[in-house]
Amino acid sequence: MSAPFVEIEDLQVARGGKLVLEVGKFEAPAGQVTVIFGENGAGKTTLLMAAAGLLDLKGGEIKLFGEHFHRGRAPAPKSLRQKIAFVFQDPYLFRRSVLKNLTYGLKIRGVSKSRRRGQAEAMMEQLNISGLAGRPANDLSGGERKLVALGRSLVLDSPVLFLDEVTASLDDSAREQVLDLIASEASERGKSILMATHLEGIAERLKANVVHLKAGRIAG
Amino acid sequence: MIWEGIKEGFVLLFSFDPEVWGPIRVSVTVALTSTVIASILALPFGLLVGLGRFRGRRAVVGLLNTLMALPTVLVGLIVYAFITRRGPLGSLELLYTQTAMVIGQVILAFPIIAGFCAAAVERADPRVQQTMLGLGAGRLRAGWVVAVENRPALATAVAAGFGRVFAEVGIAMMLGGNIHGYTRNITTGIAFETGKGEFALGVALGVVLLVVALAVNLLVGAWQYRGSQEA
Repeated sequence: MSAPFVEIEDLQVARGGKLVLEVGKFEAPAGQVTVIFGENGAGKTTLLMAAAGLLDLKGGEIKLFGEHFHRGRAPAPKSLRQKIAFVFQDPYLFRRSVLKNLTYGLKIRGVSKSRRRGQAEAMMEQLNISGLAGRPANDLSGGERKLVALGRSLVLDSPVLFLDEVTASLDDSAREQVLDLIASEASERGKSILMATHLEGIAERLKANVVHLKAGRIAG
Repeated sequence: MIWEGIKEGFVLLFSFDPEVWGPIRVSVTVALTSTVIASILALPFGLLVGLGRFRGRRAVVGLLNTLMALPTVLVGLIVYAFITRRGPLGSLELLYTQTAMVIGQVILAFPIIAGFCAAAVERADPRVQQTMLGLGAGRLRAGWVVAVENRPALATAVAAGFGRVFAEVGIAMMLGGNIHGYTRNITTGIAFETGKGEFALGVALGVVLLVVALAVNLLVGAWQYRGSQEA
């Protein structure tokens, strides 16, 4: 097993005074896909968001590539968060065109204006959404929104990807295309991917490591 | 008498009578200046209060809500105490100037704009900030985008501040002094002209007050409609 890209120790996340996630020890190997599998409400999103430094921690610590990343109050430091790209389960798209949604993350990461457009267009082509470039993001269907959000994160070329139910609301062909893309991001580009899903079969399809989460605890 | 006053008021208005248009100019200039200054100060403060997580945040929100109902004469009185000849800022000779009116109106508008702004961003879609942080943005930039994405609500905050200062009379009277051709604005003009029996002039100024309030509301409403169509 390769060295872990994310290491979690004694993690506790509380909401409204109630402990909703408690993870003793968790590691995900670098350069591979790790799937967090669990039913709705198992705590998958909470685990992903906590690991990405986006949630306050009641206890515990998270390391990213062996480096102290997040402990206590969110958000984690910007310089470390920029190693991660996060795709949310119910993604928010900015009130701009699809193209501008894709270039905005690059702008945040300091990519020059001249390179942003080219990179965004290449990503849209990869996801077969080039035809949406000029459309206002708020006019899109659920599946299209998901693809745009995925493109917005993938174009950042971060070494770590956190994907929350990324295949939900996609039709069969788009789902297959996205799963192929995720697999190639890990196998060909060496990306470290942590992915939450409630759909069985995805882990096998991606030849991923699997972690089962049940009621806020790792079940096996 | 009321109908006669309204008819005569419109005649004065559209004959561009300087007795009507002088106060209008003062009202618009002073209210716009104070709204712009108050917005520059209050919007970042409102964002900080609405999105920030610091001890005493609830108390600050409570204070802003209380100050929204600040009586204009009280603001006038406090500022008066500072800028009167014997006050700590008396040497600046600000009393009975448009600058004094602007100072008072900024104090009046600040809690309104900041309070509405804080409430708007607090209720804003939490995914905006999460998305920004997830893309690697700093908290400041994430806060800015929350504001930009909620611009129709912030426009309402600014419009509410403008409406309050445009229609107030206490500050204008106490700090401006209702000086003809200099600090007399619409509201002090209405009080003054009606007091001396010039009912038509008072009505003409009142009509303008309503028309401007309506125009601002329509403008903000149109912007909000455009925002909702985009969403």
